[in-house]
Amino acid sequence: MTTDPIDRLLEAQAAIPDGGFTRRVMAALPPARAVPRPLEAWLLALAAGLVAAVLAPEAAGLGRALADGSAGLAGLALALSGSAGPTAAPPTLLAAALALGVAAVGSWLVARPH
Amino acid sequence: MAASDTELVARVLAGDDRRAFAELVSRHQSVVRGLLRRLTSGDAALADDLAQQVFVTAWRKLASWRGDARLSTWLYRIAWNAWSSQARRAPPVEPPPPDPVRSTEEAVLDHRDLVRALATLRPEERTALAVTYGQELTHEEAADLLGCPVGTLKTNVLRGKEKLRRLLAPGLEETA
Repeated sequence: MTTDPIDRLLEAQAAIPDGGFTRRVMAALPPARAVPRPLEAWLLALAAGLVAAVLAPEAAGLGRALADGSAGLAGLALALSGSAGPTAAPPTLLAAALALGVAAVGSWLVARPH
Repeated sequence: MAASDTELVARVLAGDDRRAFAELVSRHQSVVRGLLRRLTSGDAALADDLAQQVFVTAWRKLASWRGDARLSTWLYRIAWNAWSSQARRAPPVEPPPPDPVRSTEEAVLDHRDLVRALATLRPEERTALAVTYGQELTHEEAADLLGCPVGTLKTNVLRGKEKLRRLLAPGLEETA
């Protein structure tokens, strides 16, 4: 125990009662994020693959591979967003959206009349 | 048995567990608000606004906390950053120094005297005292938090204490 009165004065920091502070912080937190569950993510990926297949029935070669690959990426990103916790969701969902976009554009380019 | 900080953090990260995060806030609010009150020269409203900001930031960045440091030390760093940004935006208005002439009846010091006296110190002396006392930080951790050498921190603590001793001399004799 220190004998210096200045030390004692500085150390005598009474605990601050909560007084509703925790509730105030909890109210200020951002709302819960909608995180897709892995099963939902795989169903979405399956749907994305079906869409790619329907949009490009005649496609072959590189265009088809691009479309299918993009759909697969979308599924992977969605699955990750479902299992990696709340902080990882937005970037992976964004990646999924981008991949779906690439799939749609790729399918359209391949399927359009030449 | 109460869950450790590490367990509570894991629950928050695994499932967006707000009850676990509320427990963390409740557990650490006193020291975070205490530090900020000293840094803001006793402005409790501003300190609580900053403390709220600290915990919201902690919620967002919880995944970046590595378990090798105490959670409180990590929260102090966020609090220090919040305070530094605030001080850059709006430099604090210095309150008047404590009245050196006191009657014997008024001579016993209270917390408000200390807060007023702290407010008259140079910012680096005040922050050195704020992070060194009552925050469970070692000198090395405190120096790391402020981004200065340990020697500089100790010098600022000594200078600050000497100034406080001169400012609070009349009441100190009664308090001792």
